[in-house]
Amino acid sequence: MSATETGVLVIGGGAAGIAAARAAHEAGATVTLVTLPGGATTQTAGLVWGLSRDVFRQWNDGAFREGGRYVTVGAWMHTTAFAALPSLLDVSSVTGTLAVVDLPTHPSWSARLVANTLGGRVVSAKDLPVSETFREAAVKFDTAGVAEGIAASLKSACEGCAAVLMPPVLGLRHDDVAARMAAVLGLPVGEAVGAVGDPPGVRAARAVRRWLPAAVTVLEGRATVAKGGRATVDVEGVGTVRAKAVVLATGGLAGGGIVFDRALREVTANVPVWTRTRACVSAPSGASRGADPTAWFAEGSPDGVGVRLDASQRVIDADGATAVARWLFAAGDVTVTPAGAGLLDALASGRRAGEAAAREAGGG
Amino acid sequence: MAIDLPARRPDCDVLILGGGVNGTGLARDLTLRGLRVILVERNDLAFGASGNSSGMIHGGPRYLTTHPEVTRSSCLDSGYIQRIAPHMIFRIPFLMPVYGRGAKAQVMLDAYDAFFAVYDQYQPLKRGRRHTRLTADEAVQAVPGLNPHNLFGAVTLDEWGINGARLCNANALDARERGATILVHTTAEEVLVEHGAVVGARVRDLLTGVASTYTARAVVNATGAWSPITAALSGLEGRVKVRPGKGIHVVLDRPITDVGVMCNAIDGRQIFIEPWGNTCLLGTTDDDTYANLDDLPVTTDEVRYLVEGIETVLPRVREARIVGTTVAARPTLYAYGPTEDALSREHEIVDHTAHGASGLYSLLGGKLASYRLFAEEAADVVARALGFTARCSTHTTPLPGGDRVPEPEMLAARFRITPYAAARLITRHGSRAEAMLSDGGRRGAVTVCTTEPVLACEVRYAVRVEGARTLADVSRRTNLAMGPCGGVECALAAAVIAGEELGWTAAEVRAQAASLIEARRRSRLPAIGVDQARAEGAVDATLRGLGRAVMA
Repeated sequence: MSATETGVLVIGGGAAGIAAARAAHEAGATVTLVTLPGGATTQTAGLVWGLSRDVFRQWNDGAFREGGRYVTVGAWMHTTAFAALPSLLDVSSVTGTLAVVDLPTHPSWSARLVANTLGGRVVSAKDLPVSETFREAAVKFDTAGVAEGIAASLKSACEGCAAVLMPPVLGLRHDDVAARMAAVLGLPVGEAVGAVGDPPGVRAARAVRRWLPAAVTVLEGRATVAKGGRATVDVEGVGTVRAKAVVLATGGLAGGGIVFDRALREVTANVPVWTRTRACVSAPSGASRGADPTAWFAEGSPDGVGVRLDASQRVIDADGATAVARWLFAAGDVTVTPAGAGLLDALASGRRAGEAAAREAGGG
Repeated sequence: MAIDLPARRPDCDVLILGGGVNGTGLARDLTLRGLRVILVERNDLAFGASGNSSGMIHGGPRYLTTHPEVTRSSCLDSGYIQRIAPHMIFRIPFLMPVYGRGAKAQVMLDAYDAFFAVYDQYQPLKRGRRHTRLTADEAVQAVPGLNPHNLFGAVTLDEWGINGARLCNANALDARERGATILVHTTAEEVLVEHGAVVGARVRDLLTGVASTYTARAVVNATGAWSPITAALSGLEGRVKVRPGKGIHVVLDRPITDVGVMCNAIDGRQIFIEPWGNTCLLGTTDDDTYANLDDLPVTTDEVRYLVEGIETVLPRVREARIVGTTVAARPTLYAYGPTEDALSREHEIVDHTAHGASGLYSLLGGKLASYRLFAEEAADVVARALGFTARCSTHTTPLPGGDRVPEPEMLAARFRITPYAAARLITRHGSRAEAMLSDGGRRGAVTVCTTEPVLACEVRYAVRVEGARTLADVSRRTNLAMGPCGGVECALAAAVIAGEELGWTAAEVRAQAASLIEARRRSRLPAIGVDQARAEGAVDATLRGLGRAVMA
């Protein structure tokens, strides 16, 4: 069987992988991306956290907006978050009374609490979808005419208000529900941010995927990186791919790039795993009956563990200094991430790794 | 120490310190006898051993050969509890497999058989079924997945399960509705003794920081493993001794077996796996503890000890999903010398008159299964000393909701909820489930926690009626967040409802939700496995959403 050839092979289709593929493509490399369903990028709520902001600014393409104050369900305002969606309402930009729309059947949306917190006014709409989950309601908002009808029924109640805040139900499939309601009301309409898996998160994950350039070849399957002088990657159900450079962007514990099974392991390339305190933990430990997870996870969030990189974004070996291979780079949650790292950091590290991989591919 | 207390009628007849099953059971008993009671609990009701036990109202078979009268009274009391709380109890059949070959295994099986034939005499007192003796093949049929290798035979026995936290809350609620005052998150700071007699206590609300003094004619120290600390507050250092024995359980996400199975751990101790409500418990360890009782740690070693032991009889436990652990310290009666397992599980009432504090009593030892009897004995002593002659009626008066057990199907149809949600609500609230749903309206029937499940009306009830003051209190009362999601799906929704009731700010709502999710994670970490490790990413995402991990 003849092997497929590519310049840069990115393993992982989350935020880090997409950013790496895009950066490598923009740097002129031929790019192939291998992906599996799921991962941490699908677990965004719609607000984007992270310590890095540079990439975000550079790649701001309208789907993402600069930071502001956003209401989450539970009525708390994030003060420094970025919104991944135009539908989210930056409440700091509202001068005047905010109309907060009630959704009587949902347990976690308390319009009263939100309105009390923000100094807004609770308003009720007619014919709101009866549902217990935000997703069920959002599906109904996708239906043509429903959002417009609800907006029309809010019109008199919202008189004198400066903006309208909806619960996180403004569509699962469509991104223009807020805009359609705003057109009917003649007021800015935004939605609060839900939890992981709620409609804004689903739309935000889709917005990230739109950043993948069309020129990138996408394969689906589990990838295994062979050790050796050249980059050879077996993709289950597809075959062997030979690349000049490989970017591991397989995610951390949540994404499946790192697994814990008596020990912590990196599953795609079988390279050493480190904790935030820089101890290499995938070497044999002192415990004969399996390692104690509390020792690593007590440092902070469990997803901080991962592979370590040198200054050129290459994965390093257990000695803490030597690169495992010239051609192996990594980005996102599969790497050791600082506390508080989020989607922005995945994008930023993806971009760094993608650029480095493109240089390696071009020079090889 | 001279304390200037005005000469007036004391605030209550009896001040009870401790909101476990002994304290709440005593509060109910005394209130039913007409005494005025105040109960203060430092943490929450059922925070300690009562809410973290194996959850069984057993008949005390371990006393059968040495103290058969204890077995008899335990079985009798188990029968009483079925009568007063029929909605709460559930049958747990157990299997004791015998492994090995030849005469030794035969003798062992015969011995079990003969032993439980004697226990059968008492089973009718608690509506228990007679034991059966099974061949190896029959045992494997009874418990699919039972390790058949070297299996010789088995015997079965029949016990009853109960949610200890619900039992404490039912006792406390009944006492409250009959006039008692129940204060949670309120700790005694000093027990006041004047001229050799107890006169009350100075307490502090740990959530508000407000101190107050309650006068009483008698004070009962029912603080379980904490009782030596409590005794020291009245100047009785060293007069009260217990030997706190730490026990943990591992909680699985579902009952992976319909029948409890007993086996020996690596050190020969008896351990078990039992189906328990919609979960499964592996238990238990018993180790002397010297740690902070308010914050006992669970270690990976303890979890592995239990899983390794259960694996010998039920290998698939290795693949099961662990959703948490429980931990508490038993208030075992003090003795120096014996190993933990050899210690007495009996109870004792100490009258501190001889120690210069008449009117002060300590309740030591005891176990969940015999709480009612212990409370009755204690109430007899305390009530008689205060001149009350009414007799105990806790064995005949139903606990709240225990008068009638509604049909889940009917409740489900009437309030348009799933029969499963109805059934779970009924196990916690019995006949009161109807009124909770009626009062809650359409919004009250909404599901907050999908795994248990817990409805919005129950969260509200936990705060409004059952006195929950934090989201963790709500969780103890409802099982909210105890399932696989660990609160990721439900903590915020429940915090919003509790927050509406308690007047929390939005920031407090968020903090309460985050702290429940973190507590659940902490309970899970020592047991983390492949799937759990992966799911922790979602937990982090949620915590970040609540502002815990990121404060940019």
